Amino acid sequence: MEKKKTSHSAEFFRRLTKGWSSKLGLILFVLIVLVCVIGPFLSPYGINDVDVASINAGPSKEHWFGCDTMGRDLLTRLLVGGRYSLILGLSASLLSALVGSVFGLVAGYQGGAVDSVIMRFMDIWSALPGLLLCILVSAFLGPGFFPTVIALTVGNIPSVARMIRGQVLSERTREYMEASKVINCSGFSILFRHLLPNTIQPIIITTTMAIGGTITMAASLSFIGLGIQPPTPEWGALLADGRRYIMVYPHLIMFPGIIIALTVLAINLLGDGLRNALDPKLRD
Amino acid sequence: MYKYVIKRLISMIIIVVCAGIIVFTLMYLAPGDPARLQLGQWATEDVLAAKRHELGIDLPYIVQLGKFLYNTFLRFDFGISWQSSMPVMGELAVRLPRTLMIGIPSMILSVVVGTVLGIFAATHEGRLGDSLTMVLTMVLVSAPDFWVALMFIILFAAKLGWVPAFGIESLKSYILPIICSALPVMAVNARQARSSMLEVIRADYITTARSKGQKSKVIVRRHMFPNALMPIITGVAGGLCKVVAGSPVIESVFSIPGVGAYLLSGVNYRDRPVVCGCVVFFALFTSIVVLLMDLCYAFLDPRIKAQYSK
Amino acid sequence: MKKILAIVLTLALMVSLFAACSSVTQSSSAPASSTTQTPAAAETTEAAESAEASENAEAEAPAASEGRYPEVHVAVMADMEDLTPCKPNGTTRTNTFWIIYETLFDYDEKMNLVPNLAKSYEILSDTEWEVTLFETIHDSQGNPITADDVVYSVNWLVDSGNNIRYDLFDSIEKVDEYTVRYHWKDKPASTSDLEFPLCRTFIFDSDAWENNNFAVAPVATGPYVVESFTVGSTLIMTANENYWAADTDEDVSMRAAYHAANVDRIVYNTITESSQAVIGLEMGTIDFCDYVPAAMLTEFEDCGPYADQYDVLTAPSTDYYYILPNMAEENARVSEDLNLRLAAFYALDNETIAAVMGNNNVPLKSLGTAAYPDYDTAWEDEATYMNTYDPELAKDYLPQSNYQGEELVLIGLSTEECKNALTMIQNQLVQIGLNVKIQTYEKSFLLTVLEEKTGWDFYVATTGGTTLINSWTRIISQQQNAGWTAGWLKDDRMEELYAIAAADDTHIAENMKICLDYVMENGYAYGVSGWSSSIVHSTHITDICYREGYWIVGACSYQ
Repeated sequence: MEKKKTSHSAEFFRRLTKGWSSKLGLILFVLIVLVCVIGPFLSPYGINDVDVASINAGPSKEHWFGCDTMGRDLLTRLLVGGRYSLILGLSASLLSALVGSVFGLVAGYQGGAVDSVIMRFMDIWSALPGLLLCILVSAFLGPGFFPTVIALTVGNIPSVARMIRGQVLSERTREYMEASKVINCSGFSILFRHLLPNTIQPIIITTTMAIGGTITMAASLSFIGLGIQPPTPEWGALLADGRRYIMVYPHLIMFPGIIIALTVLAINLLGDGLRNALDPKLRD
Repeated sequence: MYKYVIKRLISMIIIVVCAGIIVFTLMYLAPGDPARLQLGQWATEDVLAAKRHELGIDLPYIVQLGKFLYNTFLRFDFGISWQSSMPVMGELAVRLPRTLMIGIPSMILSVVVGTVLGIFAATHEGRLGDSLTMVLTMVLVSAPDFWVALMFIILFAAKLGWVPAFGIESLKSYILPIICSALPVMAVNARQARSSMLEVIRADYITTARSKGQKSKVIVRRHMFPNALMPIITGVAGGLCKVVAGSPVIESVFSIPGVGAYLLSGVNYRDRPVVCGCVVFFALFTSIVVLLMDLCYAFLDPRIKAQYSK
Repeated sequence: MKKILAIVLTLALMVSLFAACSSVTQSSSAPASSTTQTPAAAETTEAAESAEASENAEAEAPAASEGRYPEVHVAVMADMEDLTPCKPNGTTRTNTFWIIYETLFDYDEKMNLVPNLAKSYEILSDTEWEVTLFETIHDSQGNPITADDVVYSVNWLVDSGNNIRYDLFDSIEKVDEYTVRYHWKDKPASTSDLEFPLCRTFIFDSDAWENNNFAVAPVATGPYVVESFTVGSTLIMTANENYWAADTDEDVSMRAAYHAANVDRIVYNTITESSQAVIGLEMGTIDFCDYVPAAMLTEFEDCGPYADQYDVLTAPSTDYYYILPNMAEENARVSEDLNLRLAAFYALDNETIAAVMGNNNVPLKSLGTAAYPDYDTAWEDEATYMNTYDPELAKDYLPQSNYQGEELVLIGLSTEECKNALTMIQNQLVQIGLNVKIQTYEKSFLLTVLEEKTGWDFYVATTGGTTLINSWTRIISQQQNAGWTAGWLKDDRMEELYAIAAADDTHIAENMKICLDYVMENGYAYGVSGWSSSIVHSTHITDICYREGYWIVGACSYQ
C-alpha cells in the first residue's frame, strides 16, 4: 500500500510535538496566551480599580492573587500585563535574532574583508554594556511601547551574530555546501535554504532564553523611568513594584515571578521542540 | 597564523578607539545637563555656566572629542569623574578587583557545573535526569536575580549566620554574590551544553564510531565533547566579557562597590568621564577575549584553522 | 559519578530555594498594623522634640574623652561619594559632613545665626558685615585656623564653581588675624539669604588642603575625624582627640549641641537595598537606620520580636509633595485656564493619594506640614481645595473652562511613591472627565523636561527647607528660572507677596496667610502629602540629636 504523502506543515507539526516536553510547552504556552487574552474580560476587576482598604492584601477568596500596593487586583493586572510583556519579549528577541542572523550569515559566508568589518563592528557593539545602550536608545526615542522594543533589541544582536558566524564557519566546509555550489544554487538560496536551518539551533536556544531576560530588562527600564509608563501593568514593572516588600508581602513578587517562570518554561520547551522539528538530520 | 594575530591586534586598537568615539558621542547627545545634576535645583544660570566651563562642556564637540581622545589614548588618563571629583582610572583600579572577585569564580562555577549538568542531561535525553535538570535550569533562569539573592541572604546570612549579608569586609562576604551571579549563567550554559551535545550525538561520525565498536565513554570524551565545545566556548567568552562589567543588581543588593555600580551611577548622572572610561576599558577587554576565543576555535576545529592559515 | 553529582546538586539547590521561601512566609504572618502605632509614637516624639529644642539652647557640655560609647553602625541609603567640602547638601552628606567640617555660623530653629567657628558678627552697613572668629581654633592636625584660612576657603569654593546660592556674595577680605569682612551685593532681606555663604561654607586650613587628599581623608576642625573611607561602601569616623572646642578657654557655650562627640567610633555602611538594612538590624550588625520600609516597622516596635533591642522614632519631617501646574504662556491650556486648574484640584482627594503612597505619607491640609516653625495650624480650618474633596464642584468648574478633551500630561520622578501618587491622581482626574497621561522620568531627564515650556501640564514634586517660606521658594519664587518660577509662572503680585512674607522683618503669620490665599485663589499649587520619617535605632541610643531636622549620630545620648 502506498504511504499517504503528508504535507510539509503537518509533518512539521508532528515533529514539533514529538516527546512530552514539547507537548507540555505548546499546551502551556497556548494556555498562557489564551488566559492573557480572554482572562481580563472574565475578571470582575479592572486594572485600575483602586481599593484603599485592600492595599497589599494577601491571597483571598475575592482576590485570588491578592492585591498590589495600591489595592488593585493582582491577578487581573498580571493577565493584562501578559499581553504587553509577551509581545515585548517575543518581538524584541525575534527582532534581535533576525538582525543578528543576517549579520552573522553574511559575515560567515562571505569571509574576507566583509567578515572582518562586520565582526569588528559587532565587537565594538558588544563592548557597550546592554543597559547603557538601552538607556541611550530610549533617551533618543522617548518612552513608549515601540521605542522600548527597539531599545531591548539592540543589546542582543552582537552575540547572536557571533554565534551564527561561528556555526557558519564550521558548516561552510561541509560537503553539502560544496554540493549546492556545484549545482549552481544562488547565493541567497544557499544562505537561507541550506545554511540557515543548520546554523539555527544555538540561536533558538539563546533567543528563547533571552525572552525572559528581555522581560526583566524591561523592568530595569521601568526603574529608570523609561520604557512602559504607569499604570500599564507590564510584568517587569510588577516585579519592580514588589521588590521592596519581599520580606513582608512576598505575594507581590511571587506571583509575577511564577508567571514569568512558567512563560519562559513554556517558550523554552517550545524552543526545544522547534529545534527538533527543524533539524535536517531528523528528517525522514 | 602569526600574521592573522598581528592583524587582529591592530584592528583591536581601532575597535577600542571607535568604541570610545561612539560612546563619547552618545553621551554628548544624551539629554540631561550634568551641571544642573551636580549643583541641584537651586543653582542659578551663571553658576551653572561657570560649572559647565569648569567641566569643559561648553566647548564645541570636535574640541571636546579631540581632548578626550588625546587624554584617553595618549596619556592613559580617563579624566576626573564629574560627580565625585575622583580620578576615574583610580576608581576603576580599586573597584575592578572586587568585581573580578565575584565574576571569575562565578564564571568558573557556572561553566563547570553548567557543562556537567548539560552533558548529563544530553546523555540521558528523554529520561528523568534530563527533565529534572531542565526544570531546574528553567527555574534558575526565570527567577529574578534579586529575589534569589534575597532568599539566599535570608537563609544563609540571617537564619544560619554562615556568611555576612552585605559589604566587603572579608572574603566570606563574596560567597553569596558569587553563587547568586553564577546561577542564571549556569542555567544557560547547561542548556547550551545539552543542546550542542545532542546535536553531536546524532551526528554521522558518532554513528560511525559506534558502528566501529567504540566504547560509549570513549565516544563521549574523544568525539562528542570537542565538537560540542564550540558553542560552549562562545558562551564562555561572552560571559567573560560580562564578568568585567559586573552586575549592577547583585552589586546593589549586596552593597559591593564594584564596576557595575560605578557605571550605572555614571549613566544616571550623565557623568561622561566615568562612562567613557569604563566603556573604553570594557572594549579593550572584550577585544582581547574575542581574539583569544577565535584562536581557540582555530585550535579546536582543524577546519577553521585551515581557513585562517590561507 | 556525574549522575550522582548532578542529582545531588539539583536537590541541594531546590531545597535551599524552598527553605528560604518558607522562612519568608513565616515572618510575614506578623500583622502589619503600623498605622495604629504611629499616633502614639507621634505624641512621644513631640515631647522629645521640645526637649531637643531646649537642649540646643542650653550650654553645650564639652565632649568627655572618657565615658564615650564605643561604636555605632549606621545604615545609609546613598553613598557620600567624596568628602571634598564643596557640596554639603547631598543626601547622606547632611548627616556626615557636619561633624567633620565646621562653618562660621549655624542656624537655630528660628533661623537665627548661632556661633560655630565665628564668635559674633557685626553689621557695619547694608552691604558690609564683619565676622569675628574664635581665637583658639585648630584642626585635627593642629593647624590653627585664622582669617586667612576663612578667605582661602571661601574663595576656593567660588573658584571651584560650586558656589550655589551665593547670589548676594560680592567679596571677602581679611581685616585682622581673626576678623573678616564680607561685602554683599545688596542688603540681605533675611538671614536665609546668607544661608550658603555663612552657614554652608566649610572652613579649612590652606596647608591642610594642599597636603592632603580631602576627597578621602579630610583634615578639618570638627568633633570627628575620618579614619577611612571606602567609596561606595563604608565611612569610618573616630572622635577627634584634638578637638579645639573641647580644651579651649574661650566661651563656647553658645555653640549648638550637636558638636559633641559621644561615640568613639561611627561606621556608616552604604546599603542601598532596604531589605538588606532590615536584615542588618535583625542580625545586629546595624544599630541605626532611617529608611526601614513602613511595613517592616512592626518588627521593631513594642510588640515585635526585636522590641527589646530597638526603638522606633517616628517624626513628621518637613519634606512634602505638591503639584505644580505649568504656567508658561505657551502652555495656555493650563496657564490661561483657572477653571481647569480649580476643577483638577477639587477633583483630587489627597487622603486616598497619601494612602496609596505608603504608610509614612500624611495628607496635607494646607501647603505645608506642622513640622515647620512658621506653619499655622489655623489655616487648616478653612475649607480649601487641599482639604476638601469635592468632585461635584470640580464637575461644575469643568464646563466653565476651555477644556476640549485634550490629553494632559502629568509628570514626576520614577520613584515608587511618586508613581503611585501619579496613578491615583490620574484615576481621580479621569473620574471628572479629564484625559490624563502619565510620564515618569529619572532625575536627569526630568530636569530637561521641566526646562521646556511645553510638553507637560502638571508636575508632582517634593520640596523642603528649614522654614515653610523657605520651602515655598521652589513653588512661588520667581528667582528660580531667571524671572520665572520653576513652573514658569510670572506674576508680579505673587512675587511681591512672597517677598513680603520672606523678609525677616515682615515674616509673620498674616503675611504668609495672604501669600497662601493668593496661591489658592489662582490654583498655583496643590499640597499632596507630607512624610513622616521613622528611625529604627538600638536601645543604647536614648535621645536623637538633630541639626536642622537631620539626625546627627555622633551627638546623640547613649547608655
